[in-house]
Amino acid sequence: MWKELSVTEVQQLDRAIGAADETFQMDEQSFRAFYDLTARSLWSYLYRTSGNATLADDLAQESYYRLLRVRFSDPNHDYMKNYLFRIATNLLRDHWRHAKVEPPPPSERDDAHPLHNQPASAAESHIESDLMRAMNDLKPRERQLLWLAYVEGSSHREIAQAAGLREQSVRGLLFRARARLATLLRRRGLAPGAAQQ
Amino acid sequence: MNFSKPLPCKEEMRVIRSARTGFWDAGLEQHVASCPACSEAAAMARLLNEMRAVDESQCRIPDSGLMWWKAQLLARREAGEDATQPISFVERFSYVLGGVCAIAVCILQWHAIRGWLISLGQGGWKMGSAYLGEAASQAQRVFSSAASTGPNWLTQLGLPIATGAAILGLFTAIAVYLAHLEE
Repeated sequence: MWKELSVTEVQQLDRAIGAADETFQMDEQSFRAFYDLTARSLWSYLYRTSGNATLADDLAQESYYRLLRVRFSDPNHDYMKNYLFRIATNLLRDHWRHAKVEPPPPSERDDAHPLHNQPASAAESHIESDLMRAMNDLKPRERQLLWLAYVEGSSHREIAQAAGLREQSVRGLLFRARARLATLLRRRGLAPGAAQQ
Repeated sequence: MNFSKPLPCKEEMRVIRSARTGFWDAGLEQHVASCPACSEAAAMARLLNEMRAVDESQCRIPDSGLMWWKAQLLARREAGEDATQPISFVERFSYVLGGVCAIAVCILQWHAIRGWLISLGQGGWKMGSAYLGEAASQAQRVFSSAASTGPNWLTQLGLPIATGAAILGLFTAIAVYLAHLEE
């Protein structure tokens, strides 16, 4: 709701807005380069971890905004990317905690997203669908660990930082998550070796 | 592919990296062929990276320029909210203080108010000039009643009202001073 502002308030706002312009450590050019490099992989991580494309859209945008607001800038894009994924992981965890809802069960996930309606060969579609369902049957933390390790190539230390775990426990958790995914795939008759063909 | 509970292998992270990038060294490739854990890790890495490739080719993310613009807009809005926060606080505080003062006056002057209400009730509902005349005399009685109770409330409960009025006066003085200073 808008209210009438006095001259003093308007002047105070002007100063605050001026300060906001200096809030971001990163300049526009650097931000755009970093965004173009990382946005798709961040979205993919959030989508595959949450199973919800709309939530992935929102959290991806929020993650970049938080990154800008922390006045953190590093010429090393890998380091910044790791930091960005840590922010995204925390946001996802906060979302589940504050909404007081567990991640939706596989049957309620966002299967109607345009990504799932892309034309593909029957075999590709079948594999993609089975793999997605097997992923959705994992716990959120297992999906996060697997994605960070196997897709983003994060080290155990980076995974521990992003997921809020001890570095020593990552290896075991990762191994168990992979074993569980392998079991789920086997139940669906999709051995990883078969999917490569 | 053998999925019969392989044990963790120290080469797994190297294998995952190679599976992601597609660059294998000969020794590692031989190791993968003989190690069930690494074989499974390599296959899993390929599958998951295929998923990522599908996402990356088909997802629709906002343009980087739009994201930058939105972030700036959001930062400005937050800065605006931060700037007006003290003003809103003082505003809310003065409302609360006003409310407390009104309640305190009602409590302190309850006898006078009660008398006024009773006299209003005894007078009945009259219309026209007769009513107005009666109302004027009732108002006079209320004021005189309030005046007669003056020393009592001043000695017993006058301190909170005086404090409230002083705070209100102080805030008004500060607000006037700040407005004058800005001009």
